[in-house]
Amino acid sequence: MKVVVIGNGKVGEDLSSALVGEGHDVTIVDSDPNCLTKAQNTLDVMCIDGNGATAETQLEAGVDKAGLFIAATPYDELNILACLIAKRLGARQTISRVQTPEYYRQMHLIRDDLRLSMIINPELVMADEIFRILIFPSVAKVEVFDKGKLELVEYHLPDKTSLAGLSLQEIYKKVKTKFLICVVQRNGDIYIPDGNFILQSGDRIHIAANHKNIERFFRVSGFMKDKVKSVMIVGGGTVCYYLAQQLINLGMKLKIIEKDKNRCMKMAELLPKAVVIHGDGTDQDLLIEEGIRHVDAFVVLTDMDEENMILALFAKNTTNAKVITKINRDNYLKLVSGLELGSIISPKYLITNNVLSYVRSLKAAAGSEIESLYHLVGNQVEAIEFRVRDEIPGLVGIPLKDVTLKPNILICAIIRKRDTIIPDGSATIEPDDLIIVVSKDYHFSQLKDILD
Amino acid sequence: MNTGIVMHYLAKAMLIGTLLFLIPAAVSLCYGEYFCALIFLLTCAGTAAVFGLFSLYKPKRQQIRTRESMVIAALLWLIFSVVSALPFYFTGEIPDIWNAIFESVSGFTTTGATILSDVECLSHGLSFWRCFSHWIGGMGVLVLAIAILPSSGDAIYLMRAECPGPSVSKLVPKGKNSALYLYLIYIGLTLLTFLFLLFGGMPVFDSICHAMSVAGTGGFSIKNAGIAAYGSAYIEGVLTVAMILFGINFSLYYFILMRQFHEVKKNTEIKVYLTIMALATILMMCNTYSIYQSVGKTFRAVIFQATSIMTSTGFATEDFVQWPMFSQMILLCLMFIGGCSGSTGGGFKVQRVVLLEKSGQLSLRKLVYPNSVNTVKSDGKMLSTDVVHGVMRYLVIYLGIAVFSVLLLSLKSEDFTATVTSVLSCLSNNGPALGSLGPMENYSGLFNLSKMVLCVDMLLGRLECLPLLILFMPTAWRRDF
Repeated sequence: MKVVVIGNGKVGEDLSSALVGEGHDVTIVDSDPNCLTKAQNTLDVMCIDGNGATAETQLEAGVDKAGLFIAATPYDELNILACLIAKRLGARQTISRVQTPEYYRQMHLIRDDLRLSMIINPELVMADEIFRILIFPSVAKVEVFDKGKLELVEYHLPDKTSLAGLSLQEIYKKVKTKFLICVVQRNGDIYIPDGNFILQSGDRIHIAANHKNIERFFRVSGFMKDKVKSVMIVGGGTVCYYLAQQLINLGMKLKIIEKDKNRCMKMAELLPKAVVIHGDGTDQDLLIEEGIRHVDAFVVLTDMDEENMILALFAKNTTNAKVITKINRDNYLKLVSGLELGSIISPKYLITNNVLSYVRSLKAAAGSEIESLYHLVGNQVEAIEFRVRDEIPGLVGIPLKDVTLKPNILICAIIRKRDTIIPDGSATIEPDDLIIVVSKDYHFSQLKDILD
Repeated sequence: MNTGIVMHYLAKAMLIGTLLFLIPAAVSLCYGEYFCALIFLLTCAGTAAVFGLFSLYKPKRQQIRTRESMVIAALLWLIFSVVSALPFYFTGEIPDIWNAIFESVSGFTTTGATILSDVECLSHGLSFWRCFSHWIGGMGVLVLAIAILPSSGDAIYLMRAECPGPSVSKLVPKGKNSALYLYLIYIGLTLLTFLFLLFGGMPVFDSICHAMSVAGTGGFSIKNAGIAAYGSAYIEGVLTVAMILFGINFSLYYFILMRQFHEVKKNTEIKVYLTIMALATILMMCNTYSIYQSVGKTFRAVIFQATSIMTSTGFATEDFVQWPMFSQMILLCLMFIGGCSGSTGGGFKVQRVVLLEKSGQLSLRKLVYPNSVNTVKSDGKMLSTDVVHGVMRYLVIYLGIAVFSVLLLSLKSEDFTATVTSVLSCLSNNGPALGSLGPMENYSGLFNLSKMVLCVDMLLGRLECLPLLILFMPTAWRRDF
């Protein structure tokens, strides 16, 4: 498919690289020649220099023949205008990024008029992600399938743990609850484990189960952390606003530290229940004075990655609080892999997941089978939620032990109406089920492709 | 320098390159030249075996950057030229290895300078191979490899190293498809030329050879007298049009096929290209009218020569060494300017001349309005100073190489005109020079050293200097820093 992406910022760049990886013909439009040069040199894409909201530039980029048009600049007005023009020129599907809370709230009013296929809001998605971690602080990351019927959580096994040295089968027997360990990361290698796989301390594991069972697993294995009741946020941007709203709704105590006076005023106006502090978040006296030693969670959301990382390190050393760090650029992620920064949230991966699941549903011939998609570890492991639309020979109605899958694939849950089933060999897949497939090194767009 | 990946790519591209030997082998078989066919097959098998072994090596780091791609292009052209000289040598039809290498380099770089005084005594297989090498060299082996091999993000680097012009851009988002479309357009145009030549009564074999020769803007002919041997105004007309077409940027054909005519309309280079050609033709016609005594005859002779020299093809129907000095100098200028960027033509490229002229104008403007802010624009878009400065640096390098080569050549030469013009002719991949190396002469009388210098000049001209020069930079080879 031909895809045109306007804006080669953090979001645009990652989207482009993911779409190229899936084999699409991607054209990038940006008005900054330097950032285009970089894209030209690192990706197999075509680059057009110009203002993406003008018809002239869009025609040059071939928007009239494009199957998908994505406006991903940081300027909402420009994105919407660009999408309108693209639609008029003949782009089949348009996706616009809208991030300003005031605009996002009213998008449902005009979405149909603008004929947008999808609206992406990286800030909101990131706030949601942080929120999920804060309500379940034991884990590093949470992905939700089918409105919470299944959760997929990432957990970093501590140095001394009773689980180390046990095979997965022994662990399942010991904990006596329904869950599945579906991905293990060890020293940079990634495994899709079977029952004989033996865990070691220091492994990063992904666990699939419904919320109740995951909580039970953590309680039994002694990993449970107390609930978060007070949160300190450094950096009062859009993400902070979206997050604060959700936290306040749950009745948590909230303190926001922001350097910029005007932003402080705005936060105070929008979030009357939060305590807004005007001050420099990198000032450790200020942090201690405001009680960093006593908060349950510490979230760093400033625009500077370096500041975020240093603050996270400081917090890790001074408190026992759950630390969540926003890191925008993934080259930093590689640099700091050895440091203990708590949960790391990177905005671009999140939004790419959403767009990719949409693009793959477009590609799948028999209508949309993919309900959602998550990249679990970098871009290598994917968890995809498929809707089983019709009879697939060799898969539907057969006990799972008799189904032959390609290597490195795991069916980690079946959601049938209200029930979440963690399947064993005798479970079967029925039509209209939702199944969650975890796979390594594949890009599936149809369910039947997982069969060998 | 990531030597592993260089070796890997080189081996893969060479494997594709060796497959090309099968085509002349088939031609030889058709004409019953079994020995010649055997030599082609043996060369093919030998190289395939060597580079097949190399291609088994899987490099650890897959990353390819500018310098790796430049080195790949340079080494590929060097190795491929030597390998393709082997059939000439082993069949005994060009018994001297230096001559064989000169002929093969001249073929691949689409120069068309020959050391053969009698080309008609060559076997069909080798005659075909000479012209076929023009065709391959015109678009490039590396571009062919990109078009065939699975897509990768590195394609743009490799294409930049082999495609002529100051700034190479892709036609479509995927590098592989861009290369593929280029080749399809190329094949299509070549077929058209072939059909038109056939229609004019040229024998099939001759038509194929000449179509390929003109497609690569090469200049090898299978007749001693060249195109003049056919004595047909129609054939000369077809070739003239074909030469003009192959000297134009190929992306314009893509735009025309995609019906994006506005892209063609705003292209400055093609306008300047055609204007220069027309102007040169008119000036030379006035100048040579006294020789031919008829407007028709003068036009036929002059326009063929003007297009042939400007597009760096180098076909000759007239011995232009006998023309007045003014016309010869115009031909020399055309030789230097060359075709459009992104075409198969050689030379300095019209695009660069346009940019130089524009930045020259700016310098003058700056004198009148010292504080004015100006930009160099091309096709309605502002050009970064990097591109503009790159062109100037390229000019300096180009002239530097020319001066150095002239010095080396003058060690064993007595004819001033021939020495200077042969260097210029080889650098712009043209073929014939002036003086004692005119269109009716050949390069066989030169000494081995001079031949080698000219070989290097031809390669430098085809790859636009930089890829070949980087081979001599010690820092480029260092592993880490």
